[in-house]
This record gives sequence, structure tokens and C-alpha cells, in this order.
Amino acid sequence: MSNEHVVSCEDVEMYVLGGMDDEDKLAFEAHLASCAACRSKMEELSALFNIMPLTVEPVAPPSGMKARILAAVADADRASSREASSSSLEEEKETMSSEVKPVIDMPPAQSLSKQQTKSWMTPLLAGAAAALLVVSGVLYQQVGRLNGDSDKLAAQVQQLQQQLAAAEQPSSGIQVNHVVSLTPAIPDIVAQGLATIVMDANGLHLIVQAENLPKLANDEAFQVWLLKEGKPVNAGTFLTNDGTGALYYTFKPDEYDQIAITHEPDAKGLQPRGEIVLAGKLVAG
Amino acid sequence: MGESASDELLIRLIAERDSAALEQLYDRYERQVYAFVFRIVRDAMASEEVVQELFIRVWNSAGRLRTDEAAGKISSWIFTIARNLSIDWLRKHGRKPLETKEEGALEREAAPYSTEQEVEHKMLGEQMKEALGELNEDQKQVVELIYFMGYTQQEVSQRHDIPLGTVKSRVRLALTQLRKKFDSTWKEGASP
Ligand SMILES: [Zn+2]
Repeated sequence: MSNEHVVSCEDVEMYVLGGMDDEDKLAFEAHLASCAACRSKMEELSALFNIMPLTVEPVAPPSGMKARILAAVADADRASSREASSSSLEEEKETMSSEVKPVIDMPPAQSLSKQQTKSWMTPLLAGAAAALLVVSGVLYQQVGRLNGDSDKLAAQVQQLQQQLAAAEQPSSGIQVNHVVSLTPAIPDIVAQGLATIVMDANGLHLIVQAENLPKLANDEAFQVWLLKEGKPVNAGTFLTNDGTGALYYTFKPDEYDQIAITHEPDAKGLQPRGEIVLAGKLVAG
Repeated sequence: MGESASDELLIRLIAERDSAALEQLYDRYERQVYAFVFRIVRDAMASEEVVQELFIRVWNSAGRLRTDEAAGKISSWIFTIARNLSIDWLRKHGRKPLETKEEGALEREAAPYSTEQEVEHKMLGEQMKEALGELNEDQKQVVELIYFMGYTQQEVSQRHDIPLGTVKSRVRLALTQLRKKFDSTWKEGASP
């Protein structure tokens, strides 16, 4: 099934033009993370596409549009700040599910995300420079702090893979199973991430890297969840530095089918409470 | 309320629920965004709907957006959401046949471009339009079908009976040519 969506450097133009379906897009984003040539080409082409919207003929907006739209925004805002039931958020979720197939179904996060709305809405200026990768608990261990930018993502993965190889056994035992690109669960989020799964004699190792994540305030943290048929298991917590963070986790083969990163009020949750910011499918094999 | 407040500053203020900042951003983008959305959905009511949804998104998402230098431009974020919402609308409500005349053509705006940014955008837009005009018909068609009508490469291939590989190579050639063309125009003309 994943073979249907083979992508290559030849596809970068199609990606930028917007002609890929969701699955091709995911596949290409995974390629992009490990291909510097495509990343630089994409940057050039993106500059081009910033100009595309400016080529259209001017058309006069309907009269009164401004007043109607500003009023609608205010309405949506009132509706969303009205206690727990946040209708604009619901709407956003609905539109989301129609435009992007929801990668993940995680009821606890959905029902609790409403309380989280507040923290999304307040500017998250505090804690902007949160520093080190924090790992709590016994199941996971810190590999190291990553603070690279997007250009370095691939290099980081490689480096991590080498570290793993060096730490655990000769590199012959290491095999990169697959790379899963993590995409925003909310359409407007610019975050992106990469989950690399590496297999060796000790089992599967998950390396999660994400960038452009929302800023964290106070005790907030990002938590990584592995899911089997929608049931989440905590795979660790991380903080970010300039919106970039990473995590390393070891697990048994074939246990999970999905991965999600949530934005949490603190690092202590045993179940997801916050909104999902990034998610991806862990296709078996 | 300086006319000069940057997009980034406005977004930061919007994140703090500053409705005056939203209004300022609205004024700055209204015409460009409306015209762009109208170009895609080709229906005045639908365009307003989409632009409304867009500004609700801006209001609700500003706090999540990075506004530092490393982040992308606010304008490209806005236009990306505008295109995504427009294409969602097309997928939900169907597209008008290509031959349909744009009704808005009648009410084309003669209003002068006031701000410096608008003038610059106008100029860049003209240069790009020229470059688009120099594509061959096949290339124009795939750009239109994919970028402005929101079809995927597979849909273009099926609906127009063009092998997928040909769709891909046309897109590749079109973009390569646009970039070349635009790069040289850029170098001769506008300052960066
Ligand atoms: Zn490539």
C-alpha cells in the first residue's frame, strides 16, 4: 500500500504547486526531511509561489463585507470563550476532518482539549526559551538536545542513528525501519515533525523530532503518544528550544499503529489532555 | 495605529486578542485575499464565506504562529490558508465549468493601489503574470487545473486523459520555466 506512493526528487514541483493528495504529500514530506536538494529547491519555488496570489485580477469585495466579517470573528470568539463549549473550535475540528482525514482518533484528547483552549489562545510568551530536552520516567532515555533547524533535520536523524549504533552494537545490527512524517492535526499549525523508527536487537527505537512547535507557557510540555487501535501509551515528554524538540523511546515491535504529539498543561499526564499538534501513522513493516 | 505596523507585530497583537490589530490586518489584505479567493471559487457569496473563515482562523491561530525572523512570511501563511479553504469549498460544492465567465470581471476595481506594499505586490504580480503568459498551453492548463482549481495530479490525469507521467513533467517544466523567467525579470527590475 505504501508502495503506491513512491515519491522522488522529481516530485518537488508537484508538491509546491499543490497537486498531491494527502498520502503523496505525507510521503513527499518524509522524503523532504532527508533530501537537502529538495529542501533548497522547495525554498526557491516557494518564493515563486508567494507571488502567485498577486497575479489575479483585482475584484471589488461585496459592500459591507468588512463589517460582516469582523462581526463574525467577534461572534466566533464569544462563542469559543463561552465556558467549556467552544463552538468555533468544534467548527475548526469539523472543517479539519473534512479537509484532512484525521490521522488519529483520540477521544480523551478531544474531550479535554476544550479546557486547553485557553492556553492556546493566550500568547505563549513566557517560557519561550525553554531549554533542554526533558525526559521523565524509566522507559525512555535522553539522547541529547537537538536544536537544529529544518536544514539539519536529516543530519540529526543520521547522527542519532549513528549514536544508537555506537551505543548498542556494531552498525550492521541497525536498520532504519521507516521514517514517518508527522503532520499538524490542526490545519493552521506550521509545526512539522519526523518520527524515525530504528530497529536493532534490542527492539524498536523511536526518534521523534519536531520543529515550529507552538511556544510553551509555564509548566506546559509536549508529550508523545504511541497508539494501538486508538489507545494511547505515553512515550515521553519533551520541551522545546525555539520551537524545536526531540525525544527518544524504545519499544517492542509491532505494538503501535499511530503516533501523536500533544501540547500538555504539564509533563505529568498519564493520558493525553491537550490538543494534538502533530500526528502520523506507523504503518506496519 | 501606525500604517507601518509590520504583519508580524499585528499577528502578535492579534494573539493578545487585539481586535484593532485584526482590523488593520484585514484592511491590509482584504482586496488581495478576496480577489485570490474569488479567482479560485468564482462566486462572490462563496468568496466572502471563505474570507470570513480565513479571518476566524487568523484570529484563533495567531497565538500559535511564529513571528520571529526564521518563520515564514505572514502573507504566504495567509494565502496558503486562503487557497486551502477555497479548494475545500470547491471540493464540497463543485467547480464551475472552465468556460463560465467570471462574474466579477464586470466589477473590476479601478481603485488605486495606495500603500507601498500594494504597489510592490502589484508589480510583482504583473511580472509573474507575464511569466505565466509565456508558458505553453499544456503548461498553462496544468497550472490552472492544479493550482487554481485544486485538482490533484491523479485527477488531472484521469479527467483529461493525460498520462500521470506527462502531467508531472508538464508541471516540472512549467515551474522550471517560471522560475527562470521570473529570476531574470527579478534581477533586471525590482529590488529584493
Ligand atoms: Zn529529493
